[in-house]
Amino acid sequence: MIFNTSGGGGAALNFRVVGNPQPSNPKENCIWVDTDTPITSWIFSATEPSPAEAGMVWIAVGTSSPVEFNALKKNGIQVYPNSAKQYVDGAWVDVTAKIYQGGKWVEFVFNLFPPLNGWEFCNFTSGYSLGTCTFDDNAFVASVANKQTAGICKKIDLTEIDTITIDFTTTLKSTTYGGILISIRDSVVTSNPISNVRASDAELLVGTISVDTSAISGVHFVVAGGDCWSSSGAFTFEIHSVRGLAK
Amino acid sequence: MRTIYIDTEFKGHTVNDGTMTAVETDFFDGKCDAFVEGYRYIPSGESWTRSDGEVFYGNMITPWRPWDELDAAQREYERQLLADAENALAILLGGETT
Repeated sequence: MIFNTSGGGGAALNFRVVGNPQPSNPKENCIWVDTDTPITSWIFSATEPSPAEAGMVWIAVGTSSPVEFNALKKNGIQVYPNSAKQYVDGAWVDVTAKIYQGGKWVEFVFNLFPPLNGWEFCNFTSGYSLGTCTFDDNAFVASVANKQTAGICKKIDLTEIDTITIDFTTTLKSTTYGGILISIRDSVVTSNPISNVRASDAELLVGTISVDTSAISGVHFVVAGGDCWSSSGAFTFEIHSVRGLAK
Repeated sequence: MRTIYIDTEFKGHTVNDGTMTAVETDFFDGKCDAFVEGYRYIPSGESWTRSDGEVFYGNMITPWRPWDELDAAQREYERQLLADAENALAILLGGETT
């Protein structure tokens, strides 16, 4: 389902899309995009729009969202926003977007990574060494061999976030030798994490894994990375994004 | 390594009521019963759908009760263990118990 229009909204639509400044008296389902770049058009799409045009806002949609809404004033088209990007200087840039629902602004998703600021490389397992780590084209690129881990970590307030999701690619052939994981912790290296999730065999090579953080509040380390515990299983991987869904 | 039991909602239990699945994990080593019972354990190959429709796949271990409560329960458990150990030591040494 795709809309494409310019400006804010239309007579039949139950929402509008606007940029800065944040509206002071918004109506229900007003979508505010935190951008100073003029919004020339907007589109709701599950896949990257093509062709893109300068200033276009792309609201990516999925099959669930904490801020779903009916796009029409009459009848119904249910929309499930997940994230927002804007086409600036020839590339899609992550932007913060919020929707006005129930008397307050609610963020679709927290784009936690990228941006890179605040994220650090980390070895998250005692007795292991750090693999090779780098940031490349806004992705975390790493390789691990036997008894190595490589991850990125950052302290994040999870009070408003009920799901953390990472998108990754990997050369790992089997979880017998290592894995990709998300962990919520109070210390980067600990034998007592708060939450752990590991990619299973069904999600090898290209995947998404998510951890439920709905029962976790306050500031904790979010660790996303990979580890290897076998001399048979050295592999490389990339973490392309870390996202949080609002509660 | 410890055996816990998970119900059909993947919630953790320390006692099997006859309907649960046993899982071996070291995640709960040293943890009190209240801590275990506040967690959800989804094994590899399984999935769980949260009430808002979000689907989560194993292997995932995460609290379903507020983490702050579980943390407080575990700290009290450890405090009591320490107090018990200190009392036992005092008895051994012929001192007074608290």
